[in-house]
Amino acid sequence: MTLPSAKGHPWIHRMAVLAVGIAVLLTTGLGGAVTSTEVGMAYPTWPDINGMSLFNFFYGEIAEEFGAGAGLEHTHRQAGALIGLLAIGLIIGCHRGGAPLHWRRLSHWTLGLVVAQGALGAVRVLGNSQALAIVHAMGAQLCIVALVALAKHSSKAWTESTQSTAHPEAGRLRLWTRATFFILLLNLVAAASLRHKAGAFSGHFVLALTATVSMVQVMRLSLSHFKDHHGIRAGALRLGVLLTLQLILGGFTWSVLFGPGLGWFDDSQARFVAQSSLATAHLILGVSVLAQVAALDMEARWRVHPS
Amino acid sequence: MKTSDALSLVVLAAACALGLDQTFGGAAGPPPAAGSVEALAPHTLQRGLSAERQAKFAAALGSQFGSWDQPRLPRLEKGDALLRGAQAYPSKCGHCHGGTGTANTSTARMLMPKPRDFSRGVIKFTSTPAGEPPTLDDLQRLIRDGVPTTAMAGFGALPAEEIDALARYTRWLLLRGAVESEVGAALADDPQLEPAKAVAAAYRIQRLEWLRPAKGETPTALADHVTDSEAIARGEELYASPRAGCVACHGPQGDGDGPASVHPQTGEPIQRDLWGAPIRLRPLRDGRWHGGNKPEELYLRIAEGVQGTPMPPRRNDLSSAEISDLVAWLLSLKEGDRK
Repeated sequence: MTLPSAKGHPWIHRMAVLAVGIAVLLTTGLGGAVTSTEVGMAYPTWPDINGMSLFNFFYGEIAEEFGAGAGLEHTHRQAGALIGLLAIGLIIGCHRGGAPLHWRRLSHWTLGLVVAQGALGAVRVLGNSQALAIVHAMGAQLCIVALVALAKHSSKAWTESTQSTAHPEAGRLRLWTRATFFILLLNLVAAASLRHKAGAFSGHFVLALTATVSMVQVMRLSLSHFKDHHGIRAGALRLGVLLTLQLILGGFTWSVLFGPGLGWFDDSQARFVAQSSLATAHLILGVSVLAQVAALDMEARWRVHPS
Repeated sequence: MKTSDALSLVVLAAACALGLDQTFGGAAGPPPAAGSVEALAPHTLQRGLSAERQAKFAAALGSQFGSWDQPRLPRLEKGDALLRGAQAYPSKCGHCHGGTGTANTSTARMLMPKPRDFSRGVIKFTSTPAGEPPTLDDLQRLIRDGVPTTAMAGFGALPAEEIDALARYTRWLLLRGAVESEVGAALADDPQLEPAKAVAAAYRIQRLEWLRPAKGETPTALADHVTDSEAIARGEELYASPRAGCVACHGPQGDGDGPASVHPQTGEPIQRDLWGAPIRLRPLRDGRWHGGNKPEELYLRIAEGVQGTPMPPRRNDLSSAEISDLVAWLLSLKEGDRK
């Protein structure tokens, strides 16, 4: 399969990369912190913020009046709005810049997912629904995957070389990247359920182990059979680094939430901060792992094909 | 597809199924039938009653209090608020506190401090004197505001009617637990005691206590008193005095390292609460207390104690002014300002 030539749109790529960074670190990171600190219902109103506008940037006053947790929820909503603006910018950039059709479609999907995610957040708050909180958490992952797809397709490496290479192991790689992606989604459902106190830790643990095995297989295939393919090899190495960090962070998070780490803190406030910080960092890294697997899946699907 | 890949994927799919089952199957499932032995609290089952007496006891509790989804409190609850609470409880509260209120859930095991086990009929932070049941207002406040620095978040976003319904259902769980605790102990002491009669008699007495519990009193001018610098100084002096007895548990600097609280060599907590959890006293300079940070809440913690813990009521040992001075000093504590 050959991608249509798509040179000359560096700003779309830059905007997509910026959107991925903001979505992972800011929007999802803040959303994760909101759940970790249990302030998801700090503002039970929408679209206003307890009578204030979303575009209120006097964070000190907000925290003073409604508490620090409310400030966290406030900035999470603002970060979500920022992603929405970036998604609109991407659509305009793709259409006005004459970007290829598949970019434009991706930008439409991205905006649709972001709008749906915002609506989910609204209904979650207005209905105080734990189930929708979990769905909202999963929706964030899909938004990020869509942004990663657009960033990947608009990257220099992809726009300058649109040829797909034949490879005997391409079919296996596609199978395993796709399977890993779905296992990771299931793991994220378990993790979101655990974080929203609707699921047991043992489930997340089993699914995390399963996902790890699957990711190791992807890395093994990539590094053994695709040594000459820069995109796949680099992606597999990045996945290895992210996975290692995530397993270590997961161990620490488990420790301070359930295990011996509970006794590391005499001060309950320090313990609370450590628990919520580690859990949030673990979440951000988990999102990054999913994004990297999605990127590898795209490489397997668009850059190589079975011979 | 290679055979090895197919087999591997089948194994991984089975692992995924196991993981999903663990995730959702391990969550709070339907509770055991209310009149069954399985519905008895763990502390009741550990009393060594015969299987026959356990069965009679369980049946008596089920008969007196109804079931988890069709609860009743004869001559205490009217209207449908209790039923609405029973409907709301599983989704709002069950995953932490458990379907039977014993907090024996996989979620509870991941939390510290653990969610309250209602089967003892006691909660820690009430506005009532030691030994008295909580008021409905206490339960509504706890549901609405939560417990600071714990996983008990505030549910203030819920409609007032739903908070009231959940409070009534929580009261039902607590009262059921109080009767079960009292009668369970009596059955263990007296092999001739008839469970059904004991449950009915205990309910008749407990119902009156729970209907109108006495309320703890707080001074009216407390809010002004706590900002008085002389009151703060008196409170600091009183804290360190042997008469107040605070230092024995809370330690000379309020770090929770008093000799009655932690082992001098290991630093491990010595005391446990009613539910068996080790008590690690929080540093007083933390400035955030589970029982609330308002002056009147702190006053009640000192005056009436913390139910289910060794923190005793001090209203008979210290005057109202002295307790107010202690509250003033506690509220004045900030990290780094301590000598």
